[in-house]
Amino acid sequence: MNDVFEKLLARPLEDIADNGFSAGVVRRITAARRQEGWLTYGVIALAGLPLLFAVPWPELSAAVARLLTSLASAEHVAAAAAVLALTFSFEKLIHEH
Amino acid sequence: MSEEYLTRRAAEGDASAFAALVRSHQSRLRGFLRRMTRGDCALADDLAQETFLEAHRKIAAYRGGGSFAGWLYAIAWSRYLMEARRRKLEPLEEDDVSTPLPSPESTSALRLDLEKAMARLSPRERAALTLCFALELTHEEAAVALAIPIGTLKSHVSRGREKLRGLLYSWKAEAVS
Repeated sequence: MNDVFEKLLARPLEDIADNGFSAGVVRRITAARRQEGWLTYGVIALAGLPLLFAVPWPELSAAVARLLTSLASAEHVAAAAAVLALTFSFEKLIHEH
Repeated sequence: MSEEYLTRRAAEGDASAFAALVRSHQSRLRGFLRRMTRGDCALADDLAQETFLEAHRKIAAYRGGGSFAGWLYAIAWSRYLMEARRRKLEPLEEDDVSTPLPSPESTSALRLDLEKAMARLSPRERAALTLCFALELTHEEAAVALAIPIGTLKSHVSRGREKLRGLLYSWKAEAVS
């Protein structure tokens, strides 16, 4: 009796076939991660929203316009842009042939 | 691949390493929880899923001090306790050992009877016996998993064994092949 009892007690639990269980767990983990990601972006967006009202938009856009105008009228910037444009066109030509 | 490697990779965010850990532990964990829920497969599988999800959330904190299985069963046990309290499944210290079970006629009947007898033990005794015998955790690992001192674990084990013996006293040795 003792032997039988000890043997049975120490017998491993019966194997349970996976049958999609592990895949289900992985799916739930992926879904939870995605949800956490959205939550993080949402919190960041909400936290950043008040900043939009604090930005001095007219002054900022005027400064950007001034910068662009000065860049367009600068000779060395124009030369650099021309070199870039020529390089891209030349590269495109090589690819086509 | 070794379990140590898999847990390290999983802690670093490798999803396929964690999936491999789930595959290698799912059968034993679900078996443990089925025994704890007295054969309620749906509830046991829900608890097993929750256990793995919690393990995934906390795996970065797992430092490999004890076995991964022991750490997993600790989560499973706490999940089971929460669910048992929520559903008022059964009092944690209460058992039902008043009447012995009839003698089994075959090995499979014997196994079934063991499950029936196990179901009559208190949850702590059932968990202690399952972790120490069927799942082969050391006493130290089982005590950590159940969050109890090792002396308490040993007394749960010996009390549970005696109760099981009493329940199954009518067994015949020849019933086991």
